[in-house]
Amino acid sequence: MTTKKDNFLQRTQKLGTGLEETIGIPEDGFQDPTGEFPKRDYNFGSGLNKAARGTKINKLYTGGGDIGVSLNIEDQRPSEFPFNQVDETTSGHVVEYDDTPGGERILIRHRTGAGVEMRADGSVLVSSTNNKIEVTGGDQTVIVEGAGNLVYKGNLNLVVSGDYNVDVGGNYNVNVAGSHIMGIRDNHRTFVSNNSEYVTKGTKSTKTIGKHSDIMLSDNNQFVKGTQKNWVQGEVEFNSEKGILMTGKESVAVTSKATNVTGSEKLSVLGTAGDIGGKSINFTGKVYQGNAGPKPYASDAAFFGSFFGQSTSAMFSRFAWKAEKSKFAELSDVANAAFKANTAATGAAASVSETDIPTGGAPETINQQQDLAGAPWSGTFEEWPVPEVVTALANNGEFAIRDVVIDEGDKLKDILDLTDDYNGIFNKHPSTQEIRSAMRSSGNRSSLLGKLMSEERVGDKSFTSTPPAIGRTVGKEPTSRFGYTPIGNAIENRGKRFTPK
Amino acid sequence: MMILVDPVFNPNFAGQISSATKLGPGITIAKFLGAYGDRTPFDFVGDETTRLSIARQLYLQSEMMQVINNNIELFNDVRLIVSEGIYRAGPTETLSGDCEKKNKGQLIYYQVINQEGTIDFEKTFEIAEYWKDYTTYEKIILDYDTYNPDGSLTAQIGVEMPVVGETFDANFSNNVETVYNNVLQSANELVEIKES
Repeated sequence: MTTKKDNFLQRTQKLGTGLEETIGIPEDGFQDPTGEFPKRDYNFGSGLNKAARGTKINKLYTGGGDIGVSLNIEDQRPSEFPFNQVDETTSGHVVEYDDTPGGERILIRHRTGAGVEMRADGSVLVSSTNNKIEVTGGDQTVIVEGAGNLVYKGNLNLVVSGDYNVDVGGNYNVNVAGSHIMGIRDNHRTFVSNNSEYVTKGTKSTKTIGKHSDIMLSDNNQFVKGTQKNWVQGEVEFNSEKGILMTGKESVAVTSKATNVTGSEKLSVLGTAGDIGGKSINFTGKVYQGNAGPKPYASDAAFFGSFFGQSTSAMFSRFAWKAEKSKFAELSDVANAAFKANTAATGAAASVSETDIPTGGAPETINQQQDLAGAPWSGTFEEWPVPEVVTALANNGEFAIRDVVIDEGDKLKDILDLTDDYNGIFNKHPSTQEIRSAMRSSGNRSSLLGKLMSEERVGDKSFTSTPPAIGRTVGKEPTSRFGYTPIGNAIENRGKRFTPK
Repeated sequence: MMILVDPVFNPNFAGQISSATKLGPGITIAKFLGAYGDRTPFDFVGDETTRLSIARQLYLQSEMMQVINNNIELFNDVRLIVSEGIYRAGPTETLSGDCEKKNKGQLIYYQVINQEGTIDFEKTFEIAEYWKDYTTYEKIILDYDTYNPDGSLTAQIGVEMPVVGETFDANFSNNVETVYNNVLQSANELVEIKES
């Protein structure tokens, strides 16, 4: 019978015993028939697994934390022989049951570094070097007694088929660099037990298809620095249990087909100039006077048209044009100009003929003024609206025109929008890292670094160009510092090791 | 030099480019948008051509990240995070210098974070050195500064890639430099700077 050992002597003579003992069928049964063991880093040493001897600690892949996020992994105590049972496969998978006093742990590690580790302090470390998938057929409950950190470097999609309930005992802070878009198919309700503040640096727009109601149980203030326009296709009502005050420093206009201004107790329409009345406007009042007030013969008023009523004071006029329909001229001492007066109570009957009416009506020049009845008027004026009074009312008192200044000097705007403060580079107070990023441009550095330093947003040594101390230095050309990775071998088999510092 | 692109992650074949577009295993464009120095929504890049151009640049950056993240032998205890990704100009800022390169995805800054969640200065230098030896690039910037309000030292690595087109054909200059407070310290060396 022919076996592989038939030419053993010939091969050992030609190739040497060393190679013969690592390939083919082992001579004594204590060699690896695959030729993988012992691995290179076990050469010239014990074949007992290094992890079992405590000269090596098998670790899972963890990477580092993130900015402000610590993994809080304590160093693992090296194992002591013979407490650690290690199974390591050809490709590098490892299973450890470590009973080392003070370092008890269980490790299941894939050759890539992924795996599960139950550490001595009771911590469980689960590591995946690629994707991680969890599928739960039923319910899943996660209870964390301490704090937690979730860091996703990519997008995060959360799909909840049922209700999504978040109960926060403290503050609920959301910081979004982009847009915050919410799509709600049904209702949206927000209950705020205390104060609410909403700051929009750009444009704010609210669209409501249905009815919109704002109910304020206290005061309501609107301050508009620009123009406010309310366009209402339907009706508008302003109702107040108290007063409504509208002032316009330049003008106020009320225009409508039918305009009603009613003062059930008092109505004042005052002005230093302008018009009141129209073609079919009727006036009803107690006193009519000129712009000089109730001054006989000097009130500076003109009246055109027919006068129906009784004059308590009749000023003499040589011609009373169109007084023909005056039925009585009771107090007139001389009614010789009362053309066609039917009765002249205290004077002689009119005898002037119609032809005496001067062409073009009454003469413009008053030839004689005379108070024929003593006191012109027995009433009193509280305050007659002469121009001085009107001007005073417009400038002082409860109806005076208000000065309206919103955000004088743009102080509030500058507090909210810091674009000008930071030369258009930031529109808010930047974080240190945002400053660091923007300072990559020399223009930004020269224009802003000094200000940021004065605000103590950067350190006072930010302009320093000399480093405090220097450590290692390497040139541009590649070096063998990190060694190389031989082709076809696992990483543990590398011929060169990392050079210790 | 023409880069052989993994067809699974080739942005040219990705269709519509969004923050969810994958550039490598576990690496999406979002990783370069959510940097805590440049939190930027991708919406500000309006046209698809510019987005695709940025995606191609970021593909090269994702390759650089994988070189470190996949090396659990040397860099198992640290994490490489994007500290300055796609840069968005301020309201009235005129883009220039490195900010303009960051805006186009050519230049990305990374920080090396240890398990305590702080910057690992030693590993920062070693990763910069590792990249220098094992990768191709336009420029690697070992960047230190004392911008922190308390004056403490911060370190990051800037990786600048040449502009690549649809064919991913580019010339890599493989320059290195060290910068302290944005002042050049060495143009052809990586110099480790320490606080004391």
